[in-house]
Amino acid sequence: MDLLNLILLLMLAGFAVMAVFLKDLLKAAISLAFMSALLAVLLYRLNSPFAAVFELSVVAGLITVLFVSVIALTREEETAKEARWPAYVFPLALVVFGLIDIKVMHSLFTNIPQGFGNPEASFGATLWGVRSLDILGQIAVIFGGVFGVLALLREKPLTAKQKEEAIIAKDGGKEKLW
Amino acid sequence: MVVTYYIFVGLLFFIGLYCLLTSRNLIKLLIGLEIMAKSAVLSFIVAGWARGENFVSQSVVITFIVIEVSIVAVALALVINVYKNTGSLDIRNLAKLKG
Repeated sequence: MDLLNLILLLMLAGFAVMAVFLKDLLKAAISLAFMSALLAVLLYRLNSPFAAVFELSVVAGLITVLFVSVIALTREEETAKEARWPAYVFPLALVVFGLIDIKVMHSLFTNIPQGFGNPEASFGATLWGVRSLDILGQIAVIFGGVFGVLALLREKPLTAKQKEEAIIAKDGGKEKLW
Repeated sequence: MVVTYYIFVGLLFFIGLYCLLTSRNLIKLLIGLEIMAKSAVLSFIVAGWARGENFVSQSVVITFIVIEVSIVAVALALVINVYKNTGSLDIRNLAKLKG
C-alpha cells in the first residue's frame, strides 16, 4: 500500500473525529469539507478521476455551502448543549471497534477475486450504456429533492387582513390614508 | 493492501455512527450521516479498484452522490422547519410531538 494513501486515510479519520467533536458547528462543517477534499484526492489516486471530481465539486462544495447557510440561519449557542460523556467514552469505543474491525476485515477481504470489467470500455460508455437506468433514478431523485425542499419551505399565504396589517406595519399606514 | 482500506472504511463508518447515536444537535446528526456516506463512497471505489472495474464503481458513486445531495437538502430544510417551530436544534425537543 502506498504511504501517501495511508497518510490520506489517517487524515480522513482525523478530520472525521474533528467534525464530530468540535463544538463550533461552522468549524465542524469546514472539517467535513476538508474531509471531502481529502477523499477526492484519495479517489483520484485510486484511478477514479470522475468520482473524485464529483466528490470535490458537489460534496466538498455544494453540501458545505448548504451546511454553512443552515448554520448561519439557525445560529444558536446554548440550546443544544452536547453531553460530555461521548467524548470521554469515544477513545475506548474506537479501540474496541478497531480491533473487531481489523479481525472482521481480514477474514472478509483478504482475497478479492478479479472482476470481469472490460478494460477497453470508456467511462461514458459505462455510465450511459451499462448503467443507463441509474440516470433515470438520478433524475427522479433530483426532482424528489427539489420538490421536497419546496414543500418543506413553503409558507402559508397571507389573508387580506394580515396583508393590511403588514402594510401598516411597514409604512405606518400611509398607503391606507391615500 | 485492500484490507487496510476496508479497515479505514469500517472506522469511518463507526465514527459516523457514534456521532448519530450520541449527538443531540440536528446538524451534528447530519454531519454523522455524511461521514457514513463518505465511508460508503470509499468502499465502492476501493472495491472497483481492487477488482479492476473502476468505471462501474465510479458510475455507482456518482449516482450515490446525487442521492446524498438530495437527502442532505431535504434534511436541512427539515432542520430549518424544526428550528422555526421549536427555536432550538435539540433533537430531544422532537420527542414531544403529541398534539
